Amino acid sequence: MARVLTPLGFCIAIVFLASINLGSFSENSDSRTKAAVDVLIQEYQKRSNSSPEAVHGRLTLTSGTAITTSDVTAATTVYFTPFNGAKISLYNGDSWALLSFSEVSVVVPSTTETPFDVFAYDNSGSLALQAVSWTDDSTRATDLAKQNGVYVKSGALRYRYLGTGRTTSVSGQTEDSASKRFLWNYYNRQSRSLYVRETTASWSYGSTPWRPANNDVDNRVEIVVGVAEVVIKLLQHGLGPALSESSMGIGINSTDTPSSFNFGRYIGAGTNIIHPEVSSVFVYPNVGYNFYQWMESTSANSPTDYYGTSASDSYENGLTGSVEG
Amino acid sequence: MVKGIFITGMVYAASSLGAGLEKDYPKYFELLGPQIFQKVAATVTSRRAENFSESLCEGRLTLTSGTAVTTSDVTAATTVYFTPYQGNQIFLYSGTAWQMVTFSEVSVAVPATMTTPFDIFGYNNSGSLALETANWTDDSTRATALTLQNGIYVKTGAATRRYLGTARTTGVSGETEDSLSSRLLWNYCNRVKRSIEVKEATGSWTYTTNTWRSANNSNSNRIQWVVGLAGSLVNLKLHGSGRADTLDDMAISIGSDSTSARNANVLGMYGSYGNDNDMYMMASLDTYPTAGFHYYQWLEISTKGGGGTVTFYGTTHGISGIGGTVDG
Repeated sequence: MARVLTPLGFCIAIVFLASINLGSFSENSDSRTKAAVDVLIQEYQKRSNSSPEAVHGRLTLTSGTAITTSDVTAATTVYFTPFNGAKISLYNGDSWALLSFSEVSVVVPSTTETPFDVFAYDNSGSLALQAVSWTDDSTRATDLAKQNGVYVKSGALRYRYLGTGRTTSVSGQTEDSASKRFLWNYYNRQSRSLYVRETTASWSYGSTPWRPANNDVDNRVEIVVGVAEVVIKLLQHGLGPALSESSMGIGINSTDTPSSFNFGRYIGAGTNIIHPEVSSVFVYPNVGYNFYQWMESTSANSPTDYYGTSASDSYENGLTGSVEG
Repeated sequence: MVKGIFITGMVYAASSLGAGLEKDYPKYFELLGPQIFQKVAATVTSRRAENFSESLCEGRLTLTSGTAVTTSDVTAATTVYFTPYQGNQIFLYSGTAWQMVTFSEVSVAVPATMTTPFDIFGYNNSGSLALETANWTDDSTRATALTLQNGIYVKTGAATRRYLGTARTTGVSGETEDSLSSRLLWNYCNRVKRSIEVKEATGSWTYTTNTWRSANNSNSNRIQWVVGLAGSLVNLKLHGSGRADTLDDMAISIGSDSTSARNANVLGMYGSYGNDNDMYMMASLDTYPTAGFHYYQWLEISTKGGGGTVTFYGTTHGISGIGGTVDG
């Protein structure tokens, strides 16, 4: 808030005040001094009223729960619920005005596998939400713009950007779960856990080309990000085969090539020892939808076993980590 | 002369208001005169109040006076402090409206309980910030629930008491701790990442039973944490090593509030595949605990229980233990 009060603006105000009010100023406040101060205060108020900082809310798929800790699937409504306060600054076309609000909501768009932005606007004195669908997983149909450094809807500056969701394969539904983080907050972000594991005990693969672990594209975590400024942290746990050389890794938006940002991919020596194979990515996701695929490759081109979840409590393998949202 | 001083002072003050009038209080007070300064300052405060409103909470709970974020272990602490952090103002509810209070560090005594969580609240005591505590019934149940006032957590039935965080007493009455292995102080406002770590100092030990137990049969091989509200993520990495002969396998894992069962969401775990070679083991857990006290126990198992020789390493080959971060 305070930073909108620029030195230049006040210098102008003070020069103006000095020119009209300070002809015979004394340290004891007289009427002209008081008038001068009033003008100064009015100038300050005008500027400080323009503060765009306040956003006391989070997008959530569960009414009244700002931070969900359990999976929410097949959600048809996005809520904006109070979080650490209940006010939001919105642009009225001339300046920023503060609005108190209770939880509001918007219906998930009738699309499939398509991101959508969520905007807040002043609807006759009450906060309201609007959802705007993207063209595809990486392209906004309507760009974001900045008003006083705040993201708003391009061409409609009264609509303040709050975050981005994405529909699932079912029209009009979205999800916020450990494997599908399809709701991303721009404000008041929190660490959101990521997790997926392969429930099959073991499987065989004997080819060099990279593929999804157990040839299952569900061995991935999926996220949507509205602005490219958050880091995803992922750790891949696996067990290398005992009879052949192998690698495991993480593909970013790919099912046949591990990411160049993926490090720690282990190549087993094929010495009849089952190796823990652990790799990581710490990367900034692109704007839009991204998936992170657990992958495998058998270097020696001979069939061998990989491992998912042990029936005897020995191991569980997959991806775990977190992303801000 | 006076006019010159006034103009210079006003320009200087006005150009600096945005950076924080209160920080240069004496200088502006002298330059502007008390009446003018107070009027401008009151307006600045009022405008700030309208814009930040009730969300403003510029302090952190700590067990070390004057240190908002401690980086060394603090044990056997008998006082909880609320110290300024990135500012020194907080909004408190009067019963009818939120009012901004400027504060210096305040403190409250740790309750005379043992192993019991307690909430810490801030309230306006005749214009000054003061703290009070409220004990929980047990490790997962508040005696007095929290509620929301204008989106801010306060004490149910006493909305003038703003919720600041939660702590837990140790096994010694009236003491608490904020250390690598026992994060028993949790902030609601201005949370930062807190490191956690515990290591086993024993070189090695054997265990040949197909039942999960605490590593080296020691319940000290755990991380303890109290969290006031659900939604804080804990990130844990467990590193271990060992050797199992051809008759057995071995594994390590993490138990959530259990010394005999692993958390179902732990990944990794696997150790030696009965090959009689030294093997590295690793397990990970990223999870949201419920509100209250929790511990994360380093566990071990000999998965076949085959009666062979199974050796777990503490410090014999590297250093084994749990590390990670929690919010607090």
